[in-house]
Amino acid sequence: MPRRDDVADLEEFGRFAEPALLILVSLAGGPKHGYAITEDIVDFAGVRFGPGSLYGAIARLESRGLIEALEAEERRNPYQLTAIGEQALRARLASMQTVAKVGQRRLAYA
Amino acid sequence: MTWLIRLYPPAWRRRYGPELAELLTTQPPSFRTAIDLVAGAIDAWFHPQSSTAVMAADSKGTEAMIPEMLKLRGYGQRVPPTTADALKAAAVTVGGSLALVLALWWAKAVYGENPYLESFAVTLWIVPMLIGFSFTELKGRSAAVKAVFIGIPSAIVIAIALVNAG
Repeated sequence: MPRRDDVADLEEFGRFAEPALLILVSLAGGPKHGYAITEDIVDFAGVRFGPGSLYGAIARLESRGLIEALEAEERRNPYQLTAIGEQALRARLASMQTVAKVGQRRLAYA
Repeated sequence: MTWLIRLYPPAWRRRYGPELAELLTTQPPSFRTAIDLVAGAIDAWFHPQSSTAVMAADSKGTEAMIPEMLKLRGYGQRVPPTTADALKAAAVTVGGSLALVLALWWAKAVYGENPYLESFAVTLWIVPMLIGFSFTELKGRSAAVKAVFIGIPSAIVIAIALVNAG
């Protein structure tokens, strides 16, 4: 039985955590511009974010110092993970891994 | 479809406009993309970005910054509707339309023939349908986005009904 505060926490992360997390995961493989990020996320997660959603998430990640823009290539601006972004991604993935392990263990006895 | 970028705040456009325009050239225009862009523009106006996490790091140190950064609040992402959502939308559309029919029927019985009632009877069914979109096309959007996408078309529909009756 999940606790109420756990549920609320998940809801708080819900809409924004996924695009932000997937962008961070994409950039963990190296710097990419918007189109490359979109296609990479489609490849590894099967989710295609609209351009408004993608840049809404990019703007938030950049403003929080999790990613940074590299020198523009024509009209495309590649982004890369910052050290802070890498820390944040590691922390988030570790948290997800813990949840996944618990879930799998409990399912094994279900 | 790049003209929709003009809906974004000027500072946001200067920073991300060219690359967003470039991204738009890689995909065919669609209604869903248009909604996504308009929703993004509304969110950009309502939630201008600032370096709050960086400021938090300055005052509390990097360790305190991580949980701050992970308080990611979502806007603009499309959440796929489930079958239950589609049923809710259908229930709102059908139920709302039936309620309107009954209300207009009652009004006609009380007030008799009236051009405004006739006009509303033809057009108002669109309003419950728009409200139903909050469970499907607009699922996961912020309250502000829902208010704009449901409120403005509803106001236009009512205005058309009033003009048509007048």
